[in-house]
Amino acid sequence: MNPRSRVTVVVVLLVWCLVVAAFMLLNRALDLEVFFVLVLIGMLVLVELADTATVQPGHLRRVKYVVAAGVLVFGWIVASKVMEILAR
Amino acid sequence: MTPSDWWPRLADRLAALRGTAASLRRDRLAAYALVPLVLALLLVFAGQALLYDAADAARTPYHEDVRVTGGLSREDGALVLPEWASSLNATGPVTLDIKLGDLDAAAASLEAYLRSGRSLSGLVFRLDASETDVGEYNGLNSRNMQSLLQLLNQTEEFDRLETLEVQYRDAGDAANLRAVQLRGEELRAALLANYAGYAGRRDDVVNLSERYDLDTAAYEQSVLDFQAIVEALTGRQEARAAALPAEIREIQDAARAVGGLPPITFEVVPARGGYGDVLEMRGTVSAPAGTGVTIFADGRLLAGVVSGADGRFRFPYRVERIEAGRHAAYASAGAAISEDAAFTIDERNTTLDLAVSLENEGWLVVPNWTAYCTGVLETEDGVPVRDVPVEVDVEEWWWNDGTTGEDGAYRVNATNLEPGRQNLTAWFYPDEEPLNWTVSAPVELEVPSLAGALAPLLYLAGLGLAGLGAVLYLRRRRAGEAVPARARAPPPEPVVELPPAPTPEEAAAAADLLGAGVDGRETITRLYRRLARELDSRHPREFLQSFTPRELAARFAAAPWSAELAALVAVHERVRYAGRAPTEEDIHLARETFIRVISESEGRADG
Repeated sequence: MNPRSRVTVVVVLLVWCLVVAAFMLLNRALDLEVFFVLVLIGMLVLVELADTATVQPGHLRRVKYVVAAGVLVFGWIVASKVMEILAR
Repeated sequence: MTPSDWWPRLADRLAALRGTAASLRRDRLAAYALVPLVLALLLVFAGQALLYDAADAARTPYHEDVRVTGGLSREDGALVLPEWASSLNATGPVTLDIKLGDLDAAAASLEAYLRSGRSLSGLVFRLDASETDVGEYNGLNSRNMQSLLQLLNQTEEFDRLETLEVQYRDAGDAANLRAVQLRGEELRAALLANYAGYAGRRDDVVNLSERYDLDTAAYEQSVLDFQAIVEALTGRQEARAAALPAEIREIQDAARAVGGLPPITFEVVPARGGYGDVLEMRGTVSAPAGTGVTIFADGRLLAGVVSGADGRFRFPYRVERIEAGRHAAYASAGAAISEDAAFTIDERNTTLDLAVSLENEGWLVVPNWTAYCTGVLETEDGVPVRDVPVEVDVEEWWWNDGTTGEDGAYRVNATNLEPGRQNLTAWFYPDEEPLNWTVSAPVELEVPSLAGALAPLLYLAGLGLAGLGAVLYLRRRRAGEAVPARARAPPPEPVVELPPAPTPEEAAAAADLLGAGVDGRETITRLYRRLARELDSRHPREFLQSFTPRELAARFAAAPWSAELAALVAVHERVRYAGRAPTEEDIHLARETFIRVISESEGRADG
């Protein structure tokens, strides 16, 4: 991945975060869990698109660790939501 | 600048653009594709109602601002407005029937009105619209229903008093005639207060209803009819108040003539008290011992006592079911009626405590969690409040009622509690007692649930699955790389010597030697490498071994065997760089093309 592509990925991720936050604010429904999940989805898509078949730059590997940690938090959120539904 | 100058510049620019397009990678193209996606999302969300604040936002099908409509959405309005209109129209017949004196028809009209009101309340609850205009109207309408119900009862009570008046007049019962007069006065005061409340809500109801273009004519007429009823009943009571003292005097004069009007005195000591106090109602009657004395309070029979040897009588009155405020009592012995004795009842504050124990009255799978609520209701000075209802609410919803005992203690069971955290409170609303309402401190309960018991497992499963997903995500790539050829170091490549111009048979023997004992991937790799070395040796000083496979294929594009070389390069790229597993066909193709190129290429003659 050349430096320009790396910048593109960061910019697109930032734009995605801003779009999500803007619509949440407009909808008066700022939910940190939903925001986190949407940003995680954005990161997953971008990492998948930026990833190459034969080589893996160091920064991409580190981003994948962040994504993996995000998946763990996502698991916790899903369990919490299931608990909320069961508690009704 | 002439057109002949423009053309090369344009050609250069186009070439630069082509170069840019060619250098665009797939991931960047995908990133650019996100831009229309974001725009599409914008378009989708742009239709959402809550994005708009304008006062006329609800004018178009796609723009609806529930704040403009007082929280009433279009769907809710379609359900609620017919019931709203129906409840407004139902008020008119009730007051009209009462005004015309047809109380049976009024009762039927009132029942229809109450039905409509209950239906509206049900909708408000179902739509969770208590904070909207509908919720506000529903509150006003509930109080109007209560007013009209009271009006009907008060009108019936007036009629009943008229019947009693005739009955007591015929019987010459002066004491009860006095009671009728007092009760009539009390009823008139209550009727005026009821009318003040009903008329006071008129503007609010009309303004709220007109906001939704609802016709309020029937409701406004009902206010006028209510006023007419009040005027008529007040007139009847004034006539009664003017006539009854004279009638009572007539009865007493007749009794005096036959010596049946003994002097009677009456007092209440102390003249002020509160809930639980005992007021002594006492007096004297100049009549033989054992004379019956009847005591009335606010026109209602309170007690019957007999006089003693000295003509004294007394009745200890415990203050319980009597409203706070000033009251009048009198005693009577036959036609003799004492002067009124006034006494005042003070309102007292109450305290209510609540203790809860939770037990499961059902099964593990089908539980019935029951909260046993106990406590004591007392006045602020410690007097137990007895025989009054206490209500237990769960999360501010009524759940069950109980009644206090002699010591003010109550016990209420709240059954079938929902799982989860629940707040329980006990409430006391006085009915006729001179007490203030009170509520206990909330008691928080954690009602167990099957889901609650499973929570740790669920969280563990969620985190476990997520962890597994995370590990698989991180290892996915490594698994792809872990092809057998990489995992095990291949055996060293044999040194295969070839004559300057090998025959196909010699080339085939070399290919067999290269592929002996290794898998397809290594065979293809060795065939390509050996071929590259052979070509390099036949074309000295071109350093062909430093060429990439594609550069090598391009170098010999003019050779007669270029197609075979290109095919071998393609197979080699797929297997070596794209990580694809070689097929039998790939291995065969690589071997055949190797033989052909090795046996047919002839050094410089190739190109």
